[in-house]
Amino acid sequence: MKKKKITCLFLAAMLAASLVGCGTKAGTVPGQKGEASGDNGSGEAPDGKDNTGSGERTPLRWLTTGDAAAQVIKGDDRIIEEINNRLGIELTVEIVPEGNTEKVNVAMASGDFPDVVTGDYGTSATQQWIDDGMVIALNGYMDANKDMEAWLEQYGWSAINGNFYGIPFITQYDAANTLIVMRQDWLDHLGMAYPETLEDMKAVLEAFTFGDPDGNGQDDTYGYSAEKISSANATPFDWVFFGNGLEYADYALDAQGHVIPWFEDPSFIPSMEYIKGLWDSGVIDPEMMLNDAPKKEEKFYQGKVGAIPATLFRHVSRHESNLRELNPDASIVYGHAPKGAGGTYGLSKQGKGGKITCITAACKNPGKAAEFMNFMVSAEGNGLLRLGIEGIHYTKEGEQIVFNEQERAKDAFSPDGWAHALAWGSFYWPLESNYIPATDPNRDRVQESVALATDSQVKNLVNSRTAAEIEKASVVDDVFVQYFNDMIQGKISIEEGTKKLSEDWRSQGGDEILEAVNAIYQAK
Amino acid sequence: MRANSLKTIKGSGVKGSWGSRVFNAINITLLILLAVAAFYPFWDCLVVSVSSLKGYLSTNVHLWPAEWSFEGYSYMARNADLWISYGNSILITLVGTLVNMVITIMAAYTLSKKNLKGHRILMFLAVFTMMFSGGIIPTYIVVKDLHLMNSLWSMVLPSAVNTYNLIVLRNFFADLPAELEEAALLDGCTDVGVLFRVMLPISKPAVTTVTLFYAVDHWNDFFSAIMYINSRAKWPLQLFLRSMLFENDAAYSGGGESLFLLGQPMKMAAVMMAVIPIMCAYPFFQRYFAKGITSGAVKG
Repeated sequence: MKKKKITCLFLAAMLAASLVGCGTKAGTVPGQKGEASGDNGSGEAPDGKDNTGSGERTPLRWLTTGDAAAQVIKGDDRIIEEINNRLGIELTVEIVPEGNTEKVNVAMASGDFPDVVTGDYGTSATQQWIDDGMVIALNGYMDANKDMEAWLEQYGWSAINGNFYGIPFITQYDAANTLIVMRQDWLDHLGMAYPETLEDMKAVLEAFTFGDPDGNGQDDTYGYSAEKISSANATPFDWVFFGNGLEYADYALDAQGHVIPWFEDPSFIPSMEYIKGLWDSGVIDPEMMLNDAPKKEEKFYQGKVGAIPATLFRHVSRHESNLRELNPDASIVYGHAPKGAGGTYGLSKQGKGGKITCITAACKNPGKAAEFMNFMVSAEGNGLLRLGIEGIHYTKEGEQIVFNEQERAKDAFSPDGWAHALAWGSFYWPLESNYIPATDPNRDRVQESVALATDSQVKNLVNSRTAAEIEKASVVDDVFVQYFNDMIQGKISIEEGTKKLSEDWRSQGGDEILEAVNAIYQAK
Repeated sequence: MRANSLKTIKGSGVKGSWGSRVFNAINITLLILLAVAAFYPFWDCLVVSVSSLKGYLSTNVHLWPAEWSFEGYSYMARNADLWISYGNSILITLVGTLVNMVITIMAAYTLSKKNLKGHRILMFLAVFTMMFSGGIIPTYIVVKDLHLMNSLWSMVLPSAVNTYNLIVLRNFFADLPAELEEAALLDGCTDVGVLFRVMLPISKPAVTTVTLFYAVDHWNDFFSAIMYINSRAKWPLQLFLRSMLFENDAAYSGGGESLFLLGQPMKMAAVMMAVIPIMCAYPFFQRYFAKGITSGAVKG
């Protein structure tokens, strides 16, 4: 009996100890320097004023999706401390796990407002922030924050009734990294060159399929594979449409200058005939409609296909080394997207989505929050977050930057000259910033791939996403995907399929989208 | 079971008809195919996890590693955060299951008493939450207002009672002979004593089953961590591993800094490391499992 009592007491003590151990001191957000005080670390200034002048720092809480791949920011991070010193703030950064925007949306919908928040741009959730007054217009703070003003002028189209409700960051807005990557050794074996035209491309893909490019004497290769089509904005054959003269990435214009869906452009039917020709001739991987990105790459590495559209930038070496796991003599080649008869070409589409960083209505010191956002998009901020503090994280030898990796490792810098955890995800990615550490041995090759891909990027007709697009996108995308697959597989003729696609797309929400897009375009 | 029944027929001297033998043959074949179909993905995952990238790429059907490599496990094991996450998951699972069981057992036993005034209303309120849960935003507000944000308790307390498990246990208790309770009370036992000294020892199958349900739920939970935990030092294992895989997927967009593209062997090693601990625990519970789930489910 006594033994049981002791056991019970022990278990109760364990439970109590666990409670204490697991608990978090109310009002703090651990893991960051300068944790905000007050209820749940809201970061509100006690009197609602900018206290910088009085020597007190203004608490500022920033909830962001951030960069999921970044290093962990420790409590004594010197970059955060440097930002605090320069701006007179006490910054608390909350980076949500996995860059999960749902967490950000739930926090906002629950009234758990940070001072500064970063969420997905062009979604119904962020639209609601604006509609419901959860975030404030930045216009009044632009004069005092010139870098922010310059940024917003670049994204002038993002204003709503003249008001900027946040700093948008559109991914792949004026940079791209996708090209069609081919097996150089196969081309050499076949005595062919990287294709420059659509006709060349057809010939190469046929040779890859039927010409025994790997020389093993077996009919075991395909010309082309890609990821399955997921929406009207990303087909595995965008290069065909642009080669045949499609002018814009998102929509097209009819003879009267009205915005129409891009598949109503005259380039669509000849493009579909070209694609169907490839499909029927058997040069396309028959499992393409099931592929995701890793599967597509896997088939390329296995030597099953000779050409894939692949992301490059820092992945150039990875593709080559993975390919050489099974084929030690293999090499890759990439170039401009193939040109059509009219000399047009393109591959990647200009981005429309990304992030937006806003000041919430609950922020007690929006002036300070705007100053912080201005810093994050300034040359000074970029320098701090990418290079670090001079004399600590790096030194200069003439024009050359010499990184002190030992010191950088103490803070949240990635190794090999890469940046601090706050550098990417909210306002920049390295691709858009064309950032490659000067010490990177593959720098030239990486930058060359981006230059080629960006040259093959096609711009949008209308940059912003309308509320109708946000609401109806998934429905009309399904319509497109269904007809696209049916046409390629011959379940419906291309002429009839195109006609029915237009009818169904328009009736299931497309007309509303076009009305909204036309209004923006005509106003422009 | 099937083998036993065949044996019985054989042993009894009754020769199965041609039709029944064909039926058994087809049945057994289908069940074997089903078992293989269920087992192969796990086997594939295990084989790939101990293969080199070259070995993985060299074939599409992975019955045996073409080239052995423990690089995936080695890479994971070198990551200190993994062990922290393991510790967090073990703590959450142990403490969470303990909390779950204490509350669920006491609630289920109480609600199994038909002489309890208002037991139907209480039961209705519990069942109501199965049909209409509070939803993510109200739960978030409650967690925040209780100052549980960024605390491991946010992964334990909001799900302290699972109504389904409560019903299973309540029905099991209700099914036990009332005479046992009466005898214990006559012998001077208190109500609490009846529960812990009489009823619980004879309820092992149901209690063990529900314990397993709760433990697996806690072990696999990642969504609560996404919602309520910010500090990486408090991430459970599932979130840590998901985050690695998510990071891998995100790297395909190519705009990010990370080149953290795991090969398939490393991904599978991560998956195996997540499932192996709970799989090791499963056999200890299995013998109670079928009995527990059926005995609690018979009576409504």
